[in-house]
Amino acid sequence: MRWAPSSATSRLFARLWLRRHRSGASGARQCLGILLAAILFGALATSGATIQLFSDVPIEIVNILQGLVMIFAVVRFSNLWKGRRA
Amino acid sequence: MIDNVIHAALIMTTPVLLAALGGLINRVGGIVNIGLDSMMLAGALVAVIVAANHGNWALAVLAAGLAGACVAFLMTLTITRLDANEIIVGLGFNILIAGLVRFFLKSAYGTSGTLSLPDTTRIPRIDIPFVADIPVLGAIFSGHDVLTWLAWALVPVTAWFLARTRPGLRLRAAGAAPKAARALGLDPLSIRDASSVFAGFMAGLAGAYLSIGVVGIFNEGITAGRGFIAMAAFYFGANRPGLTAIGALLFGFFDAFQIRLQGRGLPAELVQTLPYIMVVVILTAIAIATRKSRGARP
Repeated sequence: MRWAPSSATSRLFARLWLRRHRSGASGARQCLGILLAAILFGALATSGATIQLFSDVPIEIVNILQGLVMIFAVVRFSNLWKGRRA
Repeated sequence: MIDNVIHAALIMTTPVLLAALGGLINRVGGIVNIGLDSMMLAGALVAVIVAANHGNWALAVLAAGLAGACVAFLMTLTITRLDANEIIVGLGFNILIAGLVRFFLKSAYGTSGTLSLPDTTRIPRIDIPFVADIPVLGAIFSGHDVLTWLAWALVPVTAWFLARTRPGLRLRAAGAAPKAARALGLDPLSIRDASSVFAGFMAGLAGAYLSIGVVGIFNEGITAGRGFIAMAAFYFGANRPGLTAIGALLFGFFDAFQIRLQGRGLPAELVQTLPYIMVVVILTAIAIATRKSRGARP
């Protein structure tokens, strides 16, 4: 399994988490975000094989999901209806 | 022996050089393209499929370039319009395309990882009649294909484009001072998009060279991190095409050298790390040299 990107992604998730919950102690929030993201990616990585065993969903979906999550975690869709900035 | 090493070194240089020139244009335009590897992978896969189905290598190379350009266009839109972090998006595209390619191979061809189609047309090699017999010159000039010639021809063309032409200067303005470019009535975001699409096109060509130029089959690990080596090359070159080409050539040389070293008693896995280690060593040496020269000045 690919573990290397997960840590980058989890940091990212932490940032996303922070953006949502601006108030409060940021350190603790970030740790919580990292933990949640790590659990998500760990679950994705390990459950892929089981899901493939019991259904027709192939294990490659895990990589595709990880990539998509990384991309969608950093885009800001509000730009689309805010108009173009300099 | 020396002829073989030179020839192999030039072959190993070509994909890195193609991708590095694209990445250089992209970096001058203001985006560091981490996703070059994924564009190479997409190009390599599309090239094999088109070459096997249509039997026309030129069409296959073009299709590979377009595939790379499509990936790059998606990536650049998320960066310029949706304000995404270029590093994270680049990494995300690398993982996403690798997953999509594996998924596609399994669902469309029923293979895992390697695609070898029956009559895949290869890119023909150009042998120059008399030069081919001269010892060293023959290895340098003869027996290479169109993409190698294109890559080396693009080195001076890129330098000229960036220094002397109007679009080149606008590209530099969009990268170095987007607000100034905007004040001139240019649209820096669109210029960046265009430079990314060009980078994707070049990376697609590099992928086509790897799959239908060198081996004739596709493997999911065919790029072997060459997109990242290309990044190292244009960082090494500091946005200058000539130096970038030298960086790519250094990697190509060590890559050819490690193939020669294999089977001489050393463990093959260790020898294979040689070009990558050399990249780290060279980049470190340059950083130290730059720091020293900066320290010498007041």
